[in-house]
This record gives sequence, C-alpha cells and structure tokens, in this order.
Amino acid sequence: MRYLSVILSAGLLLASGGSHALEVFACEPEWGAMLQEIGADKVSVYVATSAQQDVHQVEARPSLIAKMRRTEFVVCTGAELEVGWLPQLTQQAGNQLLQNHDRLFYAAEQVALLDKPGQLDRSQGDVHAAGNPHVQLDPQRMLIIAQHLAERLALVDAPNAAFYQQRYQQFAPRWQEAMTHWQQQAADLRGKNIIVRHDNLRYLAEWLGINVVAKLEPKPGLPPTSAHLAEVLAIAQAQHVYAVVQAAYEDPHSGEWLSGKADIPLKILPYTVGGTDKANTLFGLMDDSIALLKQVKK
Amino acid sequence: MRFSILAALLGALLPAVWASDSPDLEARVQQLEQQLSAVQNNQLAASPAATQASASSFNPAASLILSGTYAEHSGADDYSLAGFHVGSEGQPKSDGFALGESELTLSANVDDKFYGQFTISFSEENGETKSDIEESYIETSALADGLNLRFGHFLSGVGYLNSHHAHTDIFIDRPLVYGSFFNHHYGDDGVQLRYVLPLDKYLEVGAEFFRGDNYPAAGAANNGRGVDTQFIRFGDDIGIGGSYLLGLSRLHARADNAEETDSNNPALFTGDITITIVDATFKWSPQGNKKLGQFVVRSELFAEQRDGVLDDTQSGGFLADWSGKRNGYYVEGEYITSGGYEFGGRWDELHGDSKAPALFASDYVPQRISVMAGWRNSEFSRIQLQWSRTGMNESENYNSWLLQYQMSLGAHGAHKF
Repeated sequence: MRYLSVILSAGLLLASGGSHALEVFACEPEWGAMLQEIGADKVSVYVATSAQQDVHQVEARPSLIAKMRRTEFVVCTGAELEVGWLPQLTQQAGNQLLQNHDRLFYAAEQVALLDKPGQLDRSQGDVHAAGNPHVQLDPQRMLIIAQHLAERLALVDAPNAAFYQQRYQQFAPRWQEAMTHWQQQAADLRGKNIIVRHDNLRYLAEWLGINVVAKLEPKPGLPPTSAHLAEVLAIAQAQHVYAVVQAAYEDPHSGEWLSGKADIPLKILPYTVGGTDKANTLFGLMDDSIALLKQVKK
Repeated sequence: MRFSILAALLGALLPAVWASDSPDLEARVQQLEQQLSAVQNNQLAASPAATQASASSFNPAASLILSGTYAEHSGADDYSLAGFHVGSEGQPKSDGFALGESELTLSANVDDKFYGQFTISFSEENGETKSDIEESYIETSALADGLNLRFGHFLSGVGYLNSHHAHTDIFIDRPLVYGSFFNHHYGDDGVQLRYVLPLDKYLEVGAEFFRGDNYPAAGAANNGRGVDTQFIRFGDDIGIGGSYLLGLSRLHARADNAEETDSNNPALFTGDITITIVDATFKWSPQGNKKLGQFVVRSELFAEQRDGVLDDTQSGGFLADWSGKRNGYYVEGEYITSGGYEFGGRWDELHGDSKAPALFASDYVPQRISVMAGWRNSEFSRIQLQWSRTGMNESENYNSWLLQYQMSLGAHGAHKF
C-alpha cells in the first residue's frame, strides 16, 4: 500500500510537469518579504539573515555556502552592505548559474541613494561609497524596487513572467494606498527630533519628515564612546528630543543610558521584517514602525 | 520644472473639481495624479551615473596589512622542541622591536571565467629585505557547477589555519603543530580542484597536486609532482547563533633531501611523509549577531607518518632509517566583546617518536600555554598582548611576552569562516 502511494505521487509529479519553484537566496528579511509579495508560490526563498542580526558583519558560514550553491536567483541590498560576506559566498559556492548577472538583483542599484560621501576615507568610519544602503524603510523606493524585481523575475523565470507582473500590479495599488494611510497616520510626527544609533533609520526619518539630531555612534560602524555619548547628551538636553530610536538588532545599552539621563523615551523599531511580532510583512513593518513611533507621548 | 507646472495645473484644476463632480474631470485628476507620482519616481530612480563604474574599478582590489611586534623572551637562550625541528618560520619573534610582515594582496576578476589573486609579503631579516610570494593563483568555476579549479602558487587547503593568511589568526604566532610539521604553513606550486556538493548541508571535497619544493616536501620529487592532498569539509548551523566547520585532510609528500635541522650542514630526510589532519571550528554569537559578541573555539590534530632515511653524514653524523609516527594538536578559543575587546587562550602539545633517529628520538611531550588580550577598534585595526610559556624539553622552558599591532588598509578583505 505504501509503495502504491509513492508510485502514485511520483506519477502525479511527472504528470504535472514538475512545477518547480524558483530557488531564491535573499540576503535580508525585507527582500524575503518582497519576494513573497511578488513571487508568492512561484519562488522558494531562503533568507540568510534575521532582523536580530547586524548585516554589516555576517560570517560566511558553511550553511550559507550550501544555500548559495543551489540557488537560482539572489536578492540583496548591495551598495557594499554585504561586502564583508557575500563575495566570499559566491566565490566558494561555485554556482555557475550566478555567473549570469541577471540572476543577481541588488535593490540599492534600482534607486537613487541618499548621502553619497564626497570623500572615501576610513577615518570617517565604515562609509558606503555608493550612498546609504538602508532603503527598505522608504516606501517610495520600495515600490520602485518591487517593480524592478518583478521585471527581473520575469526575465529570469520567463514561463512565469505574466504571473510576476500580475502580482506587482496587485501589490502596487495596495502599497500606494497604504502609503497615503501611513503619511496620514504619521502626520503629527513631522518635524520632531530623534536620536538614533546608526544611519540605518535615515530613509524612514526622511520620508516622515523627522529630524535626526544626533547619532550614538561617533562614526558609522564604530561603537559609542563615553566622550561621544556625553556630547550627544548635551545635544539632547539643549533641545526638545522626541525619542531615542534604535533598530531591534542594535545593542540597547547606550540608548538606554541616554534615555535615562536625558529623560526621553527609548523606542526599539523592527527596522526590517521580523524585527517585532507585528512586522511580519512589508506592510506590517511600516505599520508597526509608525505605531511604535507614535506611542511615544511626551 | 515639470513638477512645478504640474503642481500649478493641479492647483488650478482643484477648484474646478470642487465646483463640478463631472466624471470626466475626475478621470483627468486621476491622470494628473499618476503623472505626478511618475515624476516623483523619476527623481528616485537610479540615475545611470549611479551604477556607472569609476575609472579605477577594473583595477585589482588592493589591500595592505601592516604589522609589527615588541617581544621579550626569557628562560632558555635558544628555542627548540625536543623531538621536533622548528622551521625558520616557526621561530619566536625577535627580541625587542621588530617590523613584522607587510603583506600586500591584489585580486580581481580577469574576465568572465577567471579570477586572480596575488599575495606578497615583505619582511626584514638581519638588515635585508626579504620578499616572499605567499600566493599567486588563478581560479575558475567555469568548468562545472560547484567545481572550483585553482592553479598557480597557493596555500594548500589541508587543515584549517593553513589556507588562512596569518593575519587572521587568533594568536600572534602559529600553533606548535604548524611550526614543526609545516614550517608555519604549506604552500607550493600546483593545482587544486574543489567541489561543493549540491546538498542541503555544506559538504566540500578537494584534491591537490603540488610541485613538492616546500617543507615537509623537498626537491620537487616525482618529476615535480611531489605532493598530493585530499580533503573533505562539512559544516552546518546549531540553533540561531552557532555554526561549525569540520575537516579531514591528508597530505602525502615526497621529500628529497628535506632539511630537518638548521645548521650549515643540515640533516636531510628522504622518503615519504603522510600527515593526516582533523580540524574542527565552532563559532557562536548571541542571536547570530556578530556585533553583539563572538565566541570561537578551534582544534586541529596532526598525525604524521614517516617512512624514509635521515642523512646526517654532512655534519659527521649517521645515515639512519626514519620510519615512525609523531603527532600533535592544539586547542584555542577566544571571545570578542561588542566593544571590540578580545580575550583568548590556547594549549599546544607535540608527541614525538622515541624510536626516531637520535636527532629526533624523544619521549618528552613539548607543550605550550598561551593567553591573549587585545582590542579591535574596527574590523581593520587590532592591537594584542600575548603571553606564552613553552615546555621545550625536560629541563628548559621558554617564556614570551609579545605585543603586536596589525592594521589593514585598502579593500575590504573577504574572510572565510
């Protein structure tokens, strides 16, 4: 009886033409979520990092090499965000499909980036030459990226091209409607001052019209020092700062210290999909980020 | 310009919309809104300049590692290990201030099929600048899926530390097994084939053929194919924060007058050497977030089998059979805090062969304990202080204090696990 069901299912599989989902390697959870929106069941996504991890520094570990080995499509941020580990993975995995660069999709290459540095010098910290890569918190840019992702998927997985385009056509108006809703929701956040730890909330602040008046890191990528924190405290006390805002993966200690000393609330935002319970899709990410920012009553 | 015209148009149109609710006007408003968002998108879309490569982007990625040490040794005058040869590269750092190796690495894609990497290290010895081509190789994965072919001069893929550049080591010096069995590292001219199996878990197999000029081989025996190796690696994650890598390797070398002592008339070994290495590395970070801290523990076990002849006649000694086994291992670990402070410890042990020729016969077990503390200001700079005590033989210990800086300039190096 068991053999019969095995033969039957094998037969069914052969008969169906073996509907094979495109194997995708997503560097970060935000792209995994976008792939779900645009690709649905036509893609099988492996997400390499979680919302609890700082993606600037990830070990090029064996499990990631194995996944890179068998993938058919890679979606990452680019702009050197993953420069410390992604090249090592593609090199070691020896995946021939990926030699076709259409199969490597870098989100940051699809949009104009903020804060392109005039000078590249490590004395200024860990600067990204192409600009600030943390684009997933700007809904306008995310819409453009989604469109380009649908186009690229259609190119690489031609039999399902119409499906990907259709999914984008269904996603876009929902997203645009959500954008209007988020702007309305966050209207009274406009003009407020916040202190962050790193440049990673830049695009969210820009889109919501919030001012980042100081950063806990003395230079990008370097841990906060006592001297610098004293300066930030002085800034916090010299003007009205609405909140200290950090990402879920960031060490909260310095933020907690400043929050206590300056008597301003500390808010931990998801930063990417999976960073909080409610941020389980791209929509949830923005919903929860704005809800958490608004929760601060001071 | 278009933006302001459109805005003006909308502004002019809106009163008209309020005045009349004709569906025709509604459609026009919708059309204008779409055009407005299209203009906004154009502003946000990547400009061609953004993705254009700069003039120097086809030039190799270049990185330079600068390092230097300050050392204080005490105990015995000379460094030696009972039952083992300590190669020139395995000797302790010079007393006092010393410039370490300055290492330059250049790498780039040659074309769509080939990649090249070159590493040269410069050091000063007795007032003379010595340069050593550590690696100069071409690699391609154009043959078949998962298959990597490497050829040129490169570090062998056996063991763990061997294929890593020394500046990525946890400690300032290499473990005793490397200093004695490999003269710090084994690299040679040859070819390597590696295959990553298309499995759910990481499994890689590899094999190499080398010329056989460098220790433990010598003389480019067997018509310049004096060394062959085979290795297999497996690794996976444990939970959210842990990952491990296991390796099993075998190096088979033909030695044709390999120098086994440091004298002007060294003792020479001719014969076969087979070294089997088992290596294991485990890394863990809270939630897998390296920025919050990282714990690393590693061990390698070397088992050597020799079958040949030791010729010590040049210095007035004897010709003797040397067939037997020796082995050794190390265990090392470190913890790096979120603030970049690091602390580590290491234990080294070597087991000699009491039946080896007189020069190497020993049943003493050389051992060493090392502890280290350091600070990494960023991924690119590192300062560390290390203390070690070596039991060299039955009557002598060797103690060292080492202070080292290590700085990396240039391209962001790609680091293996």
